[in-house]
Amino acid sequence: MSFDLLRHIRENDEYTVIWLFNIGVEKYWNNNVFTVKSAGDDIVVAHMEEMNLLITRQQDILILRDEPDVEYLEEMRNFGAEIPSIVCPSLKDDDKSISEIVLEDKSLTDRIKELCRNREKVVFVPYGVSSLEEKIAQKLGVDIFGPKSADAIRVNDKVYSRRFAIEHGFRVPEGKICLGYDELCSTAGEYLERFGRIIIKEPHGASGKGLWVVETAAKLKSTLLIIKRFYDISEDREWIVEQWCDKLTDLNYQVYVGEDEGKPHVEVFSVKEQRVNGTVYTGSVIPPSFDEKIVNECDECGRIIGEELYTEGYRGILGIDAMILSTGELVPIVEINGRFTLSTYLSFIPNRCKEVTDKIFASYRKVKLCNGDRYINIVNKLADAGIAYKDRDGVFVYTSETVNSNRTGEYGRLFTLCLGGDESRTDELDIKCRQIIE
Amino acid sequence: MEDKIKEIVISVLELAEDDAKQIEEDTDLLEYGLDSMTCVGVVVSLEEEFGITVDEEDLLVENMSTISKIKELVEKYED
Repeated sequence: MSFDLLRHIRENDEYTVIWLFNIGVEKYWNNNVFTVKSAGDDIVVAHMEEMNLLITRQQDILILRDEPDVEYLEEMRNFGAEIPSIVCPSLKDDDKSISEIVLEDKSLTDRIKELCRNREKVVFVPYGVSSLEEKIAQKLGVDIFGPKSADAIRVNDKVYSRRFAIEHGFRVPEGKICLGYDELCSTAGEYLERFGRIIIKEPHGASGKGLWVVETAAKLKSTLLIIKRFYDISEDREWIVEQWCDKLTDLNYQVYVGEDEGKPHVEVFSVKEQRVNGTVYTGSVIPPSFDEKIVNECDECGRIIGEELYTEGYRGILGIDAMILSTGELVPIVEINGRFTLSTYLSFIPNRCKEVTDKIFASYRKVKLCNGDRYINIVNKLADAGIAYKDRDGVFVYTSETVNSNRTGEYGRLFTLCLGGDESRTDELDIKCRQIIE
Repeated sequence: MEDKIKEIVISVLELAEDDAKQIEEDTDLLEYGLDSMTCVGVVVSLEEEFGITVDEEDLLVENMSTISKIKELVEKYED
């Protein structure tokens, strides 16, 4: 039986998956994004890796930078997670990506090979695939599940997304793909005058970077200065300018592009409502609250996108961002992400959680930590307030090292699932959590 | 110089009047929305206002987390 990632996560199988949460992989796909760094943020982002535990199986191997908190692992187990073999590198370097560290740490790869020694079916599944992850797979002597790095580079491009949408007759906001800085400036000025509010997109940004919502001439001027200062503005560089659309909501749907005995296996396995603050994601509603008609439309569009990419040789996960306009119409492609997204790890909670709940609101927020704060302090605060998760209701914290003050310093990031009977309850829990924690 | 820096920070972070009044020399700007994304706007405005260019190695949010630290950074490059 060939490897099917969805089957492995949903039902289990005889495979051992070696997981790697290599968030930030996009920096190896292109060099255009240059930004002001935050050492604190980088450490927090590096430790979001623990959310991979939401989809692991007991026979799997998970590579983490650091050993998770013991109390956290117990909470995850109680929630329904299967804790795999966790391997951590002896090399600790916050300035290096986890993939760089894995490639440098021979004792780590030797340990992984030893764990896999008597296992016939092993596959490597990273968050995203660049040449580094391809080297890791070679070093471990296992197959990789995911796109070829060249396909990942091609697909993870907002210009690709817009062109794909137009070529396939999907609804898109009015906009233009600009070539070079001069055309960007003139188009942005013209569109701002026409529409009053626009969005400028650098094709390769992630996590909200490289996106600018502009509604005044002054803001346009400062945005164009930022672009000139921090980005490659060569004449052959492409940019996108689009009308900013009034919308009801953002959404994300996940598409699996695999193969079963030589035939395509394309499946839309999750549709979520996304809450967004400006251009930055803040949370997901599962299941979504919008019309079944929209879910069906996502299913159809996802299938078309997946089948097309299958014929182009793509294999792996697609995380597709979309939006519902204020008219109720779906814009099915805002961006195609040819990799895992944070939303991917949340997609199987209804399937894997020990006690099924009707509604989940998954979110994250920046939190100020006191000296010595750890995961259990946060959980205790929620328990003292009577909202810690229990009996299908409450707030569950699903990463620990992102709220470990010894690791992150003063500011961490709290990842929560608010679980309850309906959306008013999950919203209530989220508000209470915010009041307690902030 | 502090007043100009404060003006830039308040403008880039789009702070409401009440929040803007709270910004002192050593106020933690991370609590007011300073992060790696908003910081690029602060840097560009500082460079334009003071005629400086900040080196890549100094482009850290932690170097700009208070008005005092920003002032130190500007003074370093003005010299």
